[in-house]
Amino acid sequence: MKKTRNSDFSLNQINPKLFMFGLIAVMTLIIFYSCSTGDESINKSGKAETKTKSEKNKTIGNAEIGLDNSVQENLNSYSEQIFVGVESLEIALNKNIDVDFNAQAMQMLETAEDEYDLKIVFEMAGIANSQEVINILKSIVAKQQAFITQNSSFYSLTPEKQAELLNASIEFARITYNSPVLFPPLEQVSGSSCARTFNNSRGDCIEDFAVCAAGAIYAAGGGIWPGLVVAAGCMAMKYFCDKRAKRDYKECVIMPMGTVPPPTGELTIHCTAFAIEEDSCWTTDSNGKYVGRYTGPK
Amino acid sequence: MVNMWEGILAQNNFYFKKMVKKYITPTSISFLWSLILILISLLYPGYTRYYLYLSIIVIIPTAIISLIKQRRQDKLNGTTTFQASIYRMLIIAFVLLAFFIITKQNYM
Repeated sequence: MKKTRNSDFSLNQINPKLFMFGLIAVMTLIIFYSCSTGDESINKSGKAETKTKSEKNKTIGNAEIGLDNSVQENLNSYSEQIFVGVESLEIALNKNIDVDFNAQAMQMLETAEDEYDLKIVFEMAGIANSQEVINILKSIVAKQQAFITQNSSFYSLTPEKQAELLNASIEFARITYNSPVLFPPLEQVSGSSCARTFNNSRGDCIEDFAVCAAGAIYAAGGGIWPGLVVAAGCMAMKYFCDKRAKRDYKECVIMPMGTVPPPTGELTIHCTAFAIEEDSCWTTDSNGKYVGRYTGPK
Repeated sequence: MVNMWEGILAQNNFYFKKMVKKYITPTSISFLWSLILILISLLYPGYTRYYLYLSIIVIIPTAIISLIKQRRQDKLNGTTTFQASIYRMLIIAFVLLAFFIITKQNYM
């Protein structure tokens, strides 16, 4: 008789309360584990990305022997800044419904001599936030100029070597910028606060989803439809939360790109090799930041 | 006269209970809860977590009591409602896992 009972071991023989609490605990663990594994996978991918980046850095480092490490870092940082600049430019342009550079606008663009002309052309082409676009373009130019002035050793290399290093740094920046976990490299670009806030926001979203998911599971005890409805609510909440985190991050990154920083220290005049017109000269501050177009005597 | 009023009240009470049973179902409550959750997450994101914690405090004891009742009923009537509830919870756990993967936005 005893033997039969043992062989027919079923759920009914377990203390129902114990069984139920055990199941609830297991399910809660499943949910939290599912969320934490998601997080881990992000971290893992982040680690993998970091590894790729460090390997890439090594490759770049090996590619150029004799080049100052700081120049290499500046080159990588510069490429990243350009990526960020282009992204902000795209966002600024996307604010306009219809941008169209027709033949007349193109002609005017070619003959534009100063910022005011450029502003008129942009507005003619349907860019309402022309000043914002010009500021972003200026900021990109400022970064280019800063790189040129601060990395003279880079320009002493052969054009082939320069192209090779630039390509490697662009590839590095592309991987960094398109990476799901962009935080360590972007900290160099835009300050650590943006990345930290983004990380925290996404962490909060996952935590909120975990709590909501636990609620959905318990609600499913009352019926499949209540459970599904709550689960759908959790999904929508997480979607909005992630979207908000991304939007805040983008705004945080783009904010310092929109305006040219105030000049500091003594101004330096720079002119291109073919400085025929006044527009070919510009000034930078003591930090190498672009200040404005130079209109005085050369 | 008193009996007539008592009759009217009893009749009203009967209709009220019928209406409650008809409209206030677990699905409608869940729907309303989800709607409020989405609205809070859109309008007042900072309060989402408090709403969730408050909901969990209410949902967990209710669900546990409900499951205990189901288990008792199963023992008395020989039904399998408790088992069905557990299966539903497991299914929803998998659905949630799928939802979590769907809403992952690993791009900028």
